[in-house]
Amino acid sequence: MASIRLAEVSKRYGTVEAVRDLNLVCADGDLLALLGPSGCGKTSTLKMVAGIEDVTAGEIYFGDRPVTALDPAQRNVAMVFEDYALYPHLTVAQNVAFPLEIRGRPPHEITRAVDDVLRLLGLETLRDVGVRQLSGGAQQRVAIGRALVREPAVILFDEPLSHLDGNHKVQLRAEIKRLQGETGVTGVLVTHDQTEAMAMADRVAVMHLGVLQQLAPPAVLYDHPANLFVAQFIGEPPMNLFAATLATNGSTLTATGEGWRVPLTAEVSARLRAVARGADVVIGARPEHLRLHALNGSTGAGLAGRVFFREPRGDVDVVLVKVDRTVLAGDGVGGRDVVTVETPAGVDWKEDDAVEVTLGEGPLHVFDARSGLSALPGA
Amino acid sequence: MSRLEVRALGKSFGATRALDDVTLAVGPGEILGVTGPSGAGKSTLCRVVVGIDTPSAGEVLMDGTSVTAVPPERRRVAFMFESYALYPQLTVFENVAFPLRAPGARRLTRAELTARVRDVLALVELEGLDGRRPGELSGGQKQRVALCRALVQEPRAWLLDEPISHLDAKLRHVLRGALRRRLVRTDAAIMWASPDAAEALAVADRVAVLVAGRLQQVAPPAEIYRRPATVDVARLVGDPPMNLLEGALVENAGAVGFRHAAFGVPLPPALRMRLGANARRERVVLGLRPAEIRVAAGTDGTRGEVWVWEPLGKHGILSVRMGSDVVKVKVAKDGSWTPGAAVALDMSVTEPVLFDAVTGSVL
Repeated sequence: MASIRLAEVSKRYGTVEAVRDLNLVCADGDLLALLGPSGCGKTSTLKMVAGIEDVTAGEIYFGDRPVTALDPAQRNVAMVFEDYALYPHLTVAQNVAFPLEIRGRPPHEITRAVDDVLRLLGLETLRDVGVRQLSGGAQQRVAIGRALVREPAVILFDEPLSHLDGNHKVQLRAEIKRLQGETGVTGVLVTHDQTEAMAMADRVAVMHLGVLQQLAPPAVLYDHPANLFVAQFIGEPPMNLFAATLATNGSTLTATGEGWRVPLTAEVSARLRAVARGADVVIGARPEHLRLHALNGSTGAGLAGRVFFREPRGDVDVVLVKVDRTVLAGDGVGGRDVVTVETPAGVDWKEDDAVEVTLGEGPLHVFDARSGLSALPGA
Repeated sequence: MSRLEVRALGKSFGATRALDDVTLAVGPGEILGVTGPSGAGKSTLCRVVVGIDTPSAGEVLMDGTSVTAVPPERRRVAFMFESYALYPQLTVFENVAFPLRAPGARRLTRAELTARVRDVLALVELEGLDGRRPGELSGGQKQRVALCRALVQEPRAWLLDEPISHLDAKLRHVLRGALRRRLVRTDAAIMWASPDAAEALAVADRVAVLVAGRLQQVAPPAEIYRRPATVDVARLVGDPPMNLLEGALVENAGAVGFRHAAFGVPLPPALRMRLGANARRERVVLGLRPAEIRVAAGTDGTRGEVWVWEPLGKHGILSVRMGSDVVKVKVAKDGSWTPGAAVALDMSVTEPVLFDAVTGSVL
């Protein structure tokens, strides 16, 4: 058992800087997720923690012990891979026993350790089954058992769920979280799937182009994204980002965009005092924090538009509204005039229905348009 | 007006039955979603309909006429390959224009052809990339080129095999809408295959669920959500999917209840009515949607133990251990749940679904 600390860690492959000046801490017994799109540096980081890749600069510590110069075996890390990497000709029990056998542990000790792990994973009834006959989810559980059986200081998960179908993914994601908590082993998870990272990790490190964007517990990432990258990467469907300017309105501020305006609360206004009046900002509103109204003549309170598409999801509907103006900031992917609203199921919104979208009923996020940084940091 | 049908379709690869007695019909301007786990037969179905694979049994019909013996190029079916199958030496523009220049295609003027290609490239936000070659594109861009090559045609049917699976979330959302709007305004029949049931349910008029080559259910999305026909369908639908708990149906003074090894749940009268005179069953599976179960105040409910808490931002998923089962509940985001803590659930939901535990079919 150990905490993990990365101090100013960088990784270069030739001229490509995969990871830049990374500072990270994962507390003893926590599960840390490294999250980001492909090329963000998450896998390079994991490999450096494992000792499979050398660091170009910086230091890695397990507890107080620098491990940067140690090979993987000396670090006592176990890895779980996306493709399970089991021995196909061996049974479940033989696969789990393998790491202990190559270490020459006495047979009675191996049997006991394997039994304990199989019980923990609910694999007792499959102990003598060949792993080839198992489903993907069961194979991954065996791989986790093989990692746990030798009581590693740290367990590293490299996209462990990416080969599984939806429901198996949801099941195993909870199982891994439960196991990691129960055994208390420090874990690092690499994933590109924000739902997975949020569901499983105690803290999530969001990375982009080799640089750490934010390190925070899941709820903080969702409620207080530090910048526009995190704001867009966390949440499904993604946050709406509106181009706006700030203006003073008595003691509070008003955010004004193309065809809409929203008074900001006194609390938000006070916190935004540092941002210059008239500044270009980006107002972020999550789809579930917007409201959709049937439009009978324009009220002028929100954004008028037409239903472009309604996606039923069972208990909620995701409604895309094509608004009359170019209101969205960001890279323009998906258009600058399509606003996403998540609304409870029940209203039968039809394509091309005239509607109005209002902001301001739920929390809003404010970002500096130039730097992309949150103007409401902290929490 | 085109109507696509498959009748009693079968396809075997050696001893493996990839498709088994599949009968489906898709009308003009209708999108039939096809979903199921990997290996369900989705891609095989597409390949048989387009004519790349020949069926081992059954028929493919267009407008009531069998095309089972007609070669692919004469079926007028536009197919988007899951593997893209782009021509590496051709530009994006030439790849997309390719089917318009095929022998047998309607002759277009150069201006018409250019307009058609540009139109579909704009739809999928690939403007400005028409001069690139596939090798210079990202995976998501290649997928969009393959999609354009299908969209540019005027076929009797479109078969789209995972058309947008590799795109970023924002673009995927918008394209679901943009594609649906465009396709349903044509006279062609459309099949849209995706392993992501949520996508199939989002874009389709009706959804066909395949498991291990067999059709489990064909129904409009709302019905698949509300009344999945089998436990296999229930496992695929919803995020997270329905809880499936095995137990028995017991009757007591006219009321019917579900008895699990660890707890009991009364069932709503409407369900009682549907079961008929003798409601007792030895082995059933009770399906409860995570969003409909409530955490009960105090200990007034079915007791269990917090197993896992997954905070997802807008809401959380609480897994509660009840006997040998784990029940997932969709709860408000701001809870704080410690594994091992006692919790009570109100499981008397208004719309439970009951399945026969042996056959897996809905009761």
